[in-house]
Amino acid sequence: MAFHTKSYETLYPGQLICPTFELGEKKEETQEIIRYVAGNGVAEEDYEVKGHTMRALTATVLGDVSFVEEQAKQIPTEAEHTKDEKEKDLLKEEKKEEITADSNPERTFFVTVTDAKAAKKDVNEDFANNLPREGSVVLARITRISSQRANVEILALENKALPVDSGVGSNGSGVTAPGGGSAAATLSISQASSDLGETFRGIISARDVRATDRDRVKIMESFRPGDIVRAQVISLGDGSNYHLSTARNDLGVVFARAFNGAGGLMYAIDWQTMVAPNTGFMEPRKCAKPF
Amino acid sequence: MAESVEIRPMTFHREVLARIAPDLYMQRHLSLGLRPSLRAFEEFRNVEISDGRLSCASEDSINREGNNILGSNVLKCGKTMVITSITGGVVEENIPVKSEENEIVESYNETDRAANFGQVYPVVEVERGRVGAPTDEEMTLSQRIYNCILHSGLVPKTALDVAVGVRSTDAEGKTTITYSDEQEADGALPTTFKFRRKWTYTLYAKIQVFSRDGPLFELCWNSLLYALANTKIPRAFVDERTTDLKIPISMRGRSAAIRETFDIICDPTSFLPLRLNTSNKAFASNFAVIDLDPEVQLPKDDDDMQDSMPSSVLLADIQGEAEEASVTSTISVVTDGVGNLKHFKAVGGSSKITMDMMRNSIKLAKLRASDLDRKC
Amino acid sequence: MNITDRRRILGPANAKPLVFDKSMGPAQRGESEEVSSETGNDAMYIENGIVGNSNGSSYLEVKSRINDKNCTLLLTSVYGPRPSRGAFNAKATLSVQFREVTLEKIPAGQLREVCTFLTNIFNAVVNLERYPKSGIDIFLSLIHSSSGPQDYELESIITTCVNGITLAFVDAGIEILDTVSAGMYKKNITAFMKNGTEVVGFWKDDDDNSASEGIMDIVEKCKEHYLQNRKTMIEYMIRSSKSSN
Repeated sequence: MAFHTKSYETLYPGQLICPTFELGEKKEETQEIIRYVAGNGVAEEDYEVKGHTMRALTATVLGDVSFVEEQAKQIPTEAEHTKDEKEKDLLKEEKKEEITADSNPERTFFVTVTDAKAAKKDVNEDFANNLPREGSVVLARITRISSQRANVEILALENKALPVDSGVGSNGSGVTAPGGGSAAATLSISQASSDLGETFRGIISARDVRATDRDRVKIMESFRPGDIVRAQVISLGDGSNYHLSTARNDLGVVFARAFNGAGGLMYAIDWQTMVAPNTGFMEPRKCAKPF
Repeated sequence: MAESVEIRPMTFHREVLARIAPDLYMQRHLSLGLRPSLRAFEEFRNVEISDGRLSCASEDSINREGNNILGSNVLKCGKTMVITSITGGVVEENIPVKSEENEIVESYNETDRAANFGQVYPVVEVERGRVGAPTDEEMTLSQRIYNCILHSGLVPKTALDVAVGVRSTDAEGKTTITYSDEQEADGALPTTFKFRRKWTYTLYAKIQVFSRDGPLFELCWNSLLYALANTKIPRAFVDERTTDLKIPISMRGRSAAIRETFDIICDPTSFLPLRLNTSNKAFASNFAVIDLDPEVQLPKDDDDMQDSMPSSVLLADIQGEAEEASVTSTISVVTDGVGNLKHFKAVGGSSKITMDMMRNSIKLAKLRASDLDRKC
Repeated sequence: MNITDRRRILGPANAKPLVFDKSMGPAQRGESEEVSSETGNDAMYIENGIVGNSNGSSYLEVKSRINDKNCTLLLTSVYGPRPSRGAFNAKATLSVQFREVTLEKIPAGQLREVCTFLTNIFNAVVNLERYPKSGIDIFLSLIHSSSGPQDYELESIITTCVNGITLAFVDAGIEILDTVSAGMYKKNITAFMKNGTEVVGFWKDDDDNSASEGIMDIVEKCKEHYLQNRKTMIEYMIRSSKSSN
C-alpha cells in the first residue's frame, strides 16, 4: 500500500512518515515511482534501517499529515502548504485522474504536517511558520516617512498569522504601563511604534508605491505615520528590512486617521483621497481598493 | 454614517483587526455593551490563589531543606500568573549606648507615621522574553508596591523584631534553646540574657509575572498580600558561648567600642506567623474610564437606544491589549471590604473621570476586596 | 558588586541572609540519600501553553516517586522567531536564558555553562533553515528545585530543561527534527535524538560513584531514562492534540 493512502495518527516531531520515494503500481511495462517532498513541518533526514542508510521524511511539528500531489511542474506556492478543505477535494479528484490516465510513471507528493488546532481557527496565530516571504500580503503600520521611502512595521500577515509578542502595553504606549519597554527611553515618543524592536520591519520605496507614474510619487501624499497599509512583500530585503510594495489596486492604506492621527477615522473615496466623514476634511493617500 | 455601498471597508478577522486598530476594535465591542474579553463593563476576572507549597515554613511544603522562602503565593488571574516568594534577612539595629539600660523605647512618633511600620522590599520581574536591566514598568511597580506597603501600615515594626533565644548545651551534650518570651513563667533565666543589641528581620519579596495581560500593580499587590498572610518567620537564637563572650566586654563599659558580630541562627523547626495589622489589610482593583466614540458605534436597530448611551463608561479590571492600548484614564484603588482606603490613584487622560465614576469605583473595589479577603 | 543597583529596591545594606541551623532539619534525613540519586523513577507532570505572551511554553513538574522532596518545577517559554537586527542571516539564531524565579542559588558561571550546553543541543535540533532573518529566544524559569540535602542538583535541572525546551518548541510549532529528550544517570546526562541512536549532548560532572564505569555504560543507562522521558512526552503531546480536536 502506498504511503500517501495510509491513514496516519497525529504525528509528533521526529516521527517517521515515509521514505523519500517508493515504488507504486506495477503495470505491464511501466513501474510507477512515487516521490515525497518535504513541505512545511516535515524534514528529510538520514535514517539507518537494517544496516544501510536511507533518506526518509520525518515530522518536525505536532499535527496531522497531509499529502498534496504536485499538479503541474511548478515551485510550491503558499497555497499548497495550507491545509484546507479545498485541497482535500482536489486531492481526491487528482487521484481519480491518476487512475484513468496512467501515462505518467512518476508522481510527486508534497508532505506537510500542520497543527490541528491552528487549522480550525480563522486566523492562524502560528506566525512562527508563516514568516513573511516573497509574495505574501501583509498589514503594516507606517512608522516613519521620508521623501524616498516609508518605513513600516509588519503587524500581521493578512488573515493568516499574527505574531505573538509581549503586547502593546509593554512598550509603554499605554498609560497603564508607563514606559514599559527598556528601550522606551531611547526612542522618541512621536515615533508610532507598537512594539519596540519586536516587529519585523519593512520599507516601501517611493517607486513601489503605485504602478503608474512612478517618478512623481510623493511619499507625503501617499502615507502618513500611523496609517495601516496593506502591502505585498517583494523581497526579503536586507538584514533588518523587508521590501514591500503597494503597486496594486487592492494594496495601499486601509486605515488612517485624519490630521496625523488626531482626527477621526477616514474612508477612501477614490484611490488617492480619503475623507473624514464628520468633518468632511480630505487628505491624500494611496488607498487600497476597499472591496 | 459614511457607510454606503461604494465605500464599504474591507473585512478583517477579529484578531487581525484587534492588532492593527485596537482602538476601533475596542469601540466596536463597547457599542455592543461588551468588552473585548467578553466581560461586562464592571465585571472582574476570577482570581485563583495557592501558596505553591514553596515556603519552608509550611507543613506540606515540597521541600523544607535548603530553602529559605518564608512565605509564597501563586496567583492566577486569567492567563496571567504571579509568583511571589518572601525571603528574609536579619539586620542589626544601631542602638545608642545610652539607651542600653532601659528597654528600647517604642515611642509612637506622631509626626513620622511611617516610621512605625515595617518595610518589605519588593522586586518585580515581568517576563517578556527579554534580558537586561529592569524595565521602567518593573521599576515603577516595585517602587509603588514598596511605598504602598510601608504607608498602609500592614506590617507593624514590632512584628519584625527578632526575639533572640539562646542555645545552650548541657553536660550530656544535649542542646536546648530558650527564648526569652517563653521563659516568663519561671522567671529565672531571662535577666541573664538581656541583649544589648537588637535585631530585626527584613523581608524581601520577589514577584515574578508571567503572561502579562494588562496592568500589573493590582495583581502583584494582591499576590504579595496573600504571600505575607501566610508568611512565617523563624525563631532565631544565638549560641550560649557567644553570649558569654559578650558579657565581660559590656561590663567593662566598652560595649560600644567592641562589637563582635553575632551569628544569628534560625531554627528550622519553629516558626511564628508574621503578625500583620489585619485592620490594614487591603486589596487592589483597577478601573478604566473610556470615552465612547460616537463615530465608530455600530448602527443600532432601534433609535431609542441612542439617547441612553453614555459618553463614557467605567470598566473594571483592565485586561488585554485592546483595552490597554485605548485606555488613557485609569483609577486604581486599594481598599478593604469596609472602605478603609489605603491608596487611590486616578490618572486623567483624554477621558474625564467624573465624581460618579470615582464613587462607583470605590464601591466596586470594596466589594472586590471583601471577596478577595475571603480567599486568604 | 561594587556598584549599587539603583534600579531595584534592595533593602538595607547591612542585612544578612537568614542562616538556618543545618544540624536540626525538620525531617531527619538518613539513608534516603542513596535512593534519591537513583534515576528513572520519577513522575512528570506536563502542561503546555501557560505563558500567553510567548509563542510557546511548557510547564514541567518532575518529582521522584520515592522521595517527594525531590522535585523540579520549570517553566519554559519560547519567543520567536523574532526579527534579528544587523546583517542578513539565512538561518535563525538561538539563545537560551536561564533564571531562577524564587531562590537564587546557582552561581552565574554554572548557569552560563548550562545555557551554552543547551544552546548547542538545540542548534542541532531546531530546523533553523526555515526561519531566515530571525532569532529564537528560549527562557527557562526555574520555579523550584530541590533534591534533599543539596542546595541544588544541576543534573536533574538540566534534564528537565532539555525536556521542557522540546515541549515548548512543540507548543510553539517551531520545527524540530526530533522529539529530543535527555536521560540522567547519576551525575551524567545524555541528550538523544532519533530514538536513542544519535547523541546530541553529553554532560558529565565530577562524580565518584560513576567514575569507575565506562562511558558507553553510562550512555546506555542514560538511554533507559531517555526512552522513558520521551515516551511520557509523546504520550502527552498526542493526548493534548486529540483533546483539542
